Amino acid sequence: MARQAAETILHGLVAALAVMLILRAGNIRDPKTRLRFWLLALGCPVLLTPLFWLLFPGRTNDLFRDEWSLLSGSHFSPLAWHGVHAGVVFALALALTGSLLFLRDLLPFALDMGRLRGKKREMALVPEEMTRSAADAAAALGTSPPRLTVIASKHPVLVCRGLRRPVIVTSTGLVEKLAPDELDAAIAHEVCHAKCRDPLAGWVLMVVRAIFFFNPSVQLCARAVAHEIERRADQAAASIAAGPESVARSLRKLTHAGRDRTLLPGVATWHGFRLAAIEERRQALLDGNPDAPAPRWTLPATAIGLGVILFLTVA
Amino acid sequence: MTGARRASWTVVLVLGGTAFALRAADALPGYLGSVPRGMHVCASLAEAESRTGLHLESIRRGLAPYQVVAGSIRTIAKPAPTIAVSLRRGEGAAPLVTFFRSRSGEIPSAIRPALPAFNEIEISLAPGRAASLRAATMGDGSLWQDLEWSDGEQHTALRWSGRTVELLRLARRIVEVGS
Repeated sequence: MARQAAETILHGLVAALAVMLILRAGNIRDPKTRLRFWLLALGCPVLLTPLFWLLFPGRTNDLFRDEWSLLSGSHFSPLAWHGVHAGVVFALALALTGSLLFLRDLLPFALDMGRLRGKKREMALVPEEMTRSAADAAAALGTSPPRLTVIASKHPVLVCRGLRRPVIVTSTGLVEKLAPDELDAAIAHEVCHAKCRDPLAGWVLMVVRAIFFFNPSVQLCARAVAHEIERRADQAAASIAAGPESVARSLRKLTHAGRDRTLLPGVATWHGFRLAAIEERRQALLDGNPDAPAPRWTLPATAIGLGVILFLTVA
Repeated sequence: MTGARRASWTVVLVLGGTAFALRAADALPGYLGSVPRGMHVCASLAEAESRTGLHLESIRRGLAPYQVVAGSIRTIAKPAPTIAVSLRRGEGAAPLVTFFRSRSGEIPSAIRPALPAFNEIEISLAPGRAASLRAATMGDGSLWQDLEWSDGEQHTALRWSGRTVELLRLARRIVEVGS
């Protein structure tokens, strides 16, 4: 079991590093392409590595390790300090890092959930401009308008929730805080989340992170996936609403408003992210349209190449 | 460079570089510990037995007064499963004897570096069991001897730096023990 856990850590690190290098060196900035690459990096330790164990149990024998493998953990057994193997220390340090990364994101979420429990919310009427804005955005994205719910709260709240039928939850504070074009941009962003069923994706990511809590690359790749999901929604909002400047301004306003803790856990989709990540999203919007997507074959080629490399890498 | 060409080169270079980096990392313990690829350092005789399929009662019983030097149990799988173990007379003493056994065929030079022998004679260890004894002087002037014999496919050797009469006594006990 420990060896399998170590192998998922090793495979995850290799996949994440390779994907990060390809995205950076290849100057791939299109959020949809980046999202697919990060999903590939996440899928390697989560799906591909267990598949190797099931289909190729012979990968762990000495002959494979000595004759075929690119890297084998058993070759590190001579490196020991007072009887403790270097590989074990390395794996434990990474597992600790992964656990801390998981806890760092889980704790604020759990605290918000606890704070919400049992709290009754006063609802308000959905403003007409918000309904119209959601309908326009949905039409532009080719989807049906999602349901809207407005909480009577002075805090600006904006979140897309619901696994089967996503609902956009907002607050009266949001309408007061944002200018009309910014409100359109923010609503369009959430409509894109609703169309892509991103709340479901968010929960799947959370479950994967909980199962692989010890794996730092899974934690980082899941964050990267969430970041690219947000960028994809930003880009969609910029293309259908009043332009990237409005989306960028609404992002900034909501980010700063988010410092005085809002009450909904899912609001993280807007400002629970690190400020640096939000600033990066703003900058990407203001820099203009991302480059043309990378050629279609780069993703399958990377997947095949990584598959072969990981097959030949044994913990 | 166009975006497509840049992406192509990036994928090729990153994946190639990743494979190269992994291979280099795999070779690192060998460089640091002077253990070539394919050779394993085992934690115990039992682990070495399971890796090679060899029985090592001859070490446990035949070489009983000697102690295994920690970290000296090495095995290789190719060309034939082979084990090498260094032993010494007591805690803190210098290794005195190295035991080699190959499951089939000659003991590979990867695990037993060749000695520049100046003398080779044949010796009988038991009725019908001949062994060859080679002597060599090392760079520091010390005298080392290799005693090697075979039992069917299985080859056994002792590399020794003590008195020859003690070496022969050990070898005969190993032959008596059998496995």
